[in-house]
Amino acid sequence: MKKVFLPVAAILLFAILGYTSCVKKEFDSPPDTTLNDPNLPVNKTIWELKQMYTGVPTLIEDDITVAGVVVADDRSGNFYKQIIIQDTSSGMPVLINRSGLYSDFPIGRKVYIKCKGLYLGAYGGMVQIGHTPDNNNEISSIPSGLISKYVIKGKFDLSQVTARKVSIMELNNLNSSIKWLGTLIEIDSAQFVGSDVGVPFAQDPTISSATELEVEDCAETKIILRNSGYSTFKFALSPAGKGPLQAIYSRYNSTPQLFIRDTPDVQFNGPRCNALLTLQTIRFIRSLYPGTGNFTVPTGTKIKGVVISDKSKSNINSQNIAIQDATGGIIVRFSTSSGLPSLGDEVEVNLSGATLSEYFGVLQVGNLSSSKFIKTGTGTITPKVATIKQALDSLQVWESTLVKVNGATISGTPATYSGNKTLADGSGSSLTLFTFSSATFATTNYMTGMVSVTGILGEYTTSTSSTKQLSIRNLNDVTP
Amino acid sequence: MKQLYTLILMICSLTSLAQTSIVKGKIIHQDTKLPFAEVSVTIPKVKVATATNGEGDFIISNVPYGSWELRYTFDGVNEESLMIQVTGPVTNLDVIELKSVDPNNNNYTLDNSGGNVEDATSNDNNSARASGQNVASVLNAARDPYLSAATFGWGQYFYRMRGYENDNNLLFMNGVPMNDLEEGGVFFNSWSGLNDVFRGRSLNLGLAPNEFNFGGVGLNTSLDATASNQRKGTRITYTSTNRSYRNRLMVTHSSGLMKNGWAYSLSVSRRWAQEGAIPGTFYDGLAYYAAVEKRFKKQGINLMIVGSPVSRGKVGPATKEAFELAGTNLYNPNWGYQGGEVRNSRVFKSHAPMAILTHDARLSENTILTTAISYQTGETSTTSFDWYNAADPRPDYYKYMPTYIDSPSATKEAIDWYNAHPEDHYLQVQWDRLYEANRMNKKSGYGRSIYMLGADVEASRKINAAVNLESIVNDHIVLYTGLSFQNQKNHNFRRVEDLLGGDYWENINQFAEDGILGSAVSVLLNMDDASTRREVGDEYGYNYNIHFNKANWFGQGVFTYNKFDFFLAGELGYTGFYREGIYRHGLFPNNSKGNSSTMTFFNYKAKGGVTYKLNGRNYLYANGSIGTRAPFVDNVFIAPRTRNTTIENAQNEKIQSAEVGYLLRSPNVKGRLTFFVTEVEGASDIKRYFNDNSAVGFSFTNNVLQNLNKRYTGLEFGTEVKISPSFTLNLAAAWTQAYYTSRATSRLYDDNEEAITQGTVSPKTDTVYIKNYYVPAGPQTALQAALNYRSKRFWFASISFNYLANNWIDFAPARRTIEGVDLLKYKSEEWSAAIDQQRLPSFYTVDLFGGKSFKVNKYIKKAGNNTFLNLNIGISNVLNNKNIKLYGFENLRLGGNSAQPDWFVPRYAHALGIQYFINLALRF
Repeated sequence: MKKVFLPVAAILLFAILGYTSCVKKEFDSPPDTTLNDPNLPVNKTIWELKQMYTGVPTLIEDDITVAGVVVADDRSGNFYKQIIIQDTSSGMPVLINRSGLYSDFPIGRKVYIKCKGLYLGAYGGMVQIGHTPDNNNEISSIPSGLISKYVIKGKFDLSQVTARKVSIMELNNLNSSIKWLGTLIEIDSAQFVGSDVGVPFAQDPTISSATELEVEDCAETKIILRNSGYSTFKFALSPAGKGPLQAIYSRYNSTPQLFIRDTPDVQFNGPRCNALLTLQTIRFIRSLYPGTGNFTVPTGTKIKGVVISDKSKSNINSQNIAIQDATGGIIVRFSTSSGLPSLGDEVEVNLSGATLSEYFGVLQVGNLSSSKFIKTGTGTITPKVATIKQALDSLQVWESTLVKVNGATISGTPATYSGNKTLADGSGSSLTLFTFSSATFATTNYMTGMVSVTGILGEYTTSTSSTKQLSIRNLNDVTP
Repeated sequence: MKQLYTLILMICSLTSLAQTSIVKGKIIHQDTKLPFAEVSVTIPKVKVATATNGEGDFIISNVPYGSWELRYTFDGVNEESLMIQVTGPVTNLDVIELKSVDPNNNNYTLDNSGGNVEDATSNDNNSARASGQNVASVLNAARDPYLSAATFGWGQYFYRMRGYENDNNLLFMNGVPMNDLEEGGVFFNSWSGLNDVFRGRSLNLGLAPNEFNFGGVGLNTSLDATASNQRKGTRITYTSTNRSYRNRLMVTHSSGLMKNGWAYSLSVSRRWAQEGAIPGTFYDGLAYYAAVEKRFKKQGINLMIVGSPVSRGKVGPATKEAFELAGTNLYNPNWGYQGGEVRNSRVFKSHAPMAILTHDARLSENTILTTAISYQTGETSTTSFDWYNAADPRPDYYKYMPTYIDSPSATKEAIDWYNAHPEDHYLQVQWDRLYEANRMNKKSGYGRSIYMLGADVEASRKINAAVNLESIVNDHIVLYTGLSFQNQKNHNFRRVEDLLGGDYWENINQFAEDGILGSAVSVLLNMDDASTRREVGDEYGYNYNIHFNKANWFGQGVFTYNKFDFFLAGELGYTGFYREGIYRHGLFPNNSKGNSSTMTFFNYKAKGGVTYKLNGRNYLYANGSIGTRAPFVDNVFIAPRTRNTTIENAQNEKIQSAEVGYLLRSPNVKGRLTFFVTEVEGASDIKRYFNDNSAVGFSFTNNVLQNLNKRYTGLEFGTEVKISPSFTLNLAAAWTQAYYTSRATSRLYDDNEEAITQGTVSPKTDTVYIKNYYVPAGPQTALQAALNYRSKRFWFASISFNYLANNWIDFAPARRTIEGVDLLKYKSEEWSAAIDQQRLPSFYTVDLFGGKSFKVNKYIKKAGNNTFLNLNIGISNVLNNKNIKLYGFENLRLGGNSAQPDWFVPRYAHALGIQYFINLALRF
């Protein structure tokens, strides 16, 4: 037994030791290859390459190599199956048939494109590079299996990603800015137009594959920001402030367009262009009016109040809103009827250079483009409770504000709201209750008996007559 | 007085002083007729052992009266046995002739545990289990030529006996049931590599009675690995081979049953390969075994501990296009170079040590009570990639293949590019690129890994217990009864293994991110997460326990008469299981965490048979069985990884089986011919894959198939003919038909479709038109012809020829529905291409074996008399046929309507070409 034990024990020991050393199991991390660069000789700039495009898919037959830094990848999904590369001369999209390209070619990676065998094409005038044209004679994406043949990895260096500082006006001039297409640009100071503030960057792709929002600078020069419905940031709401914007400059035929890589490209954190304006009370604005003719509101002026008119019930001119702050109310007229704020919206309106005038006795300020207001929230105005006599007496100060009359009766024929009806209360005076015939409730029978009526106080004065009137917004304004 | 005498005798027989006998015998060499010394002789049931002396004589004392199996072996490998009748105080046996070397039981000491090939399921299903091997060929059959052919010649080609899946083959170790409760098969990995100590086994194919369990309809194996059953002595074996591992070193030492009643046995085995025969596969295995036993006069107790920690790189099945592009049928998409070294992305690891305590007691001279209890705990895992919002890291992803490209000229360009740059290894995993992606991501300000390596882990704890009573009522009747109890808890989860250069992983459901708009809650995989960040070693993805309980009672009576034997057996069983979810899944907040309802099933089985003995040489037998079986967990829970929902109407399977056979046992010819038929009714199966055509677009889906009915039927034939004293001819044949006998029903549970997951809408039921489709059961036709030569000078050689055919690939049921053939013209070419079941090509192989045994003290005088050196050499697939397809399966994913037919094509795995093993064993 003894003579057996020693060799057996020795071999058992060997077997157990051998277990750990024989076969390699743990792996070291491989060396960092992100700084490797093959240093291929580059013989054309991207701009020179784009010049070779003939208007139809163009096969590159010469041994051309260009190099560029990736300035946009598909991480956020705003770009799909392409990367945008730029060098000092220009930039262009490289169409590649693979998802998740940012894992190999993220922003900051230098790539070399070996162009021989690839095709130049264009989409909406934007020159790009890809592979064999398909049946519609549009270039296809470089197939996944051929990426390593055409797109060579260079070193990864985020500091090489530079943005050219431009102005929106320059961008809007496609001809003079043509070299910048496909490059990363930066606008020093931009903001979303008022009606595009606080909305999702993009709608669901089932509604629309991409959504366009407008940005502007303080000179109100505008350009389109186009966002994909498949992007990861589509649910984010567009910020209200103003600040730098980085994006890829692109075009669709004659329309310049910008594409962000992701929401950090939009640094709209500072006060808006409007915010440099001085906030004035509505009473102040009203006081500027000399009484006749027109008056131009000085630049740098804005008001802030709550919209007390209800455009959805159409008892106000479709281009007008009535807005009231703590000091009074005024009619603001826009040059368009679309995109106007709704009842209860709290808005700021930039009145710089707008015209104060009277329309049949009612003071209004306009005509403003719809980008002149910005919604800042919501609010409610508590109507001032008064008798009709008090309202008539204070009409000038209470014009275009919300007034509520209790214990009144409505009369007039026909018994519908449409047109001029008489509103009388116990004070012995009467007001005209006016409703446009195009209002949604115009043909509804008015409430009989004792009612409380809330409405916007106004008038309709011609050279011959003057009617003081109250206009309800909707049927909720009349209560028993 | 006579009555007193009888009374005393009766008292004597009832007390512990039972009647025993002295058994004497003699063993001689069959060829030389000279005494055969140092032959181990045992009577396993009685737990006694001895060896022949220089004259070839042996004596065994204290053998109780009765009929016993006597086993004898000269090398511990080749065993013979015969039945002896002990009826008097001295039993003199006839002289026994023993062949020195037996080629039939050739020293095939390799085990095929698991091979390297993946489970034959869709590769979208990351299962923690290794599998692939239907029969561990280390547990081979002793003398039945059919069983021998099935394991040696055909087993490595995925041949399944009678076409049955693994869950019909039951295995008992030291009396304890070893079949896993989750999937039903036997996890051979628990003890793989320990061939020396697991030789003691009895095998029973089909419906014949088993000793302490009812058994399955397939191969029933009973292993006896107690210490006293191991051959006394020391054995050191070294094997060199070119299969899944390249080297094996094994050391075994057993004391045999010593005079003081103790026995112990130790065995250690080490198998390794830096790279196996298939590129990218490494093998690193250790196995250990220790057993100690104490025998008393009437009882004995044995404690065995076994474990087999193994780690190996797997090979993955691939498409026809990938094999052609790679230029080899052994293409393995799982590996790639990392910093110049080979690294496999699918690494399988397993270590589940087990302890079994066995006690046997002779309650009376005719009754034996065996009790066994086992405890096993361990973990099995397989690694695989996970990636987030990134390009698929698998090199053979269908979108990377040249045929995916629309334009034929671009396809050709891609193929030329691949072929022109073999040094870039485009068809292998680009590990360096994955690290680079994570590093650049980190430098860009995102610490999260885009690519990482996770593992599907199953940690299980099993407790088994069995009590068996065997009672020899009289010369003709033996009764058996037993109770067994199994309790198992499986903890299934996914674990972060390697972040590949990134800082952390996020535990969110990216498929929901794509498919569902809306609440942030939906994308969480665990709504109770304090943080979704995960680091190496953390659990993520899915996390749940399955609890099982199973109890069986079994009873059997075996009746032996002159002309007839017959038997009857019955079993009653209870199976219960439930799922305990650990994660509260964002898509299924109300039915993922906590316990599901407990699924309980009651089962019964009955079988019986009769054997008619025409004479001592010719036997006819017929057996039949009916019964029910509980469904397996994986086929009852719709998506156990995410929720507690079960299929509607989970029901027992009905299994009916019958076999008829003829057996011949004459000195020169042994043979068996069996015809069998088995019907399975009401089975269910769940296939899991990506559905491109769900109501919400792209979604992971669970395809529940129910009302599956199958038939397995065929003929088995095996014969061994002694042509001359030196030449033996073995023939074996199997002709099987395993097919579906009816259409099945199918329902798709799409994970992203809220109405279905919330349970407000039941998915519609489709019919799957699979009647008469073949069950993918390996080659259903198999033939072997082998010629063996034994020399008087202790060497042997053997050549065998195998032919295998009719291996039908696994098919996608969704394609065989009305929707699946939508847009295809009925009976057109595309129609056939889409739904016909593909058959793998038939093939033949030629194998050679040979070996010689050396008595060492002939050459080295100092060596003991008992020291032998065995050399065995085997060469399989001598003709180096590299085009053998082992198995195939259709891609379950069909693609959207615009998908080309060549995007989601079947995958195959190929067998190795020529393989060898050289085995050197020293025993003393």
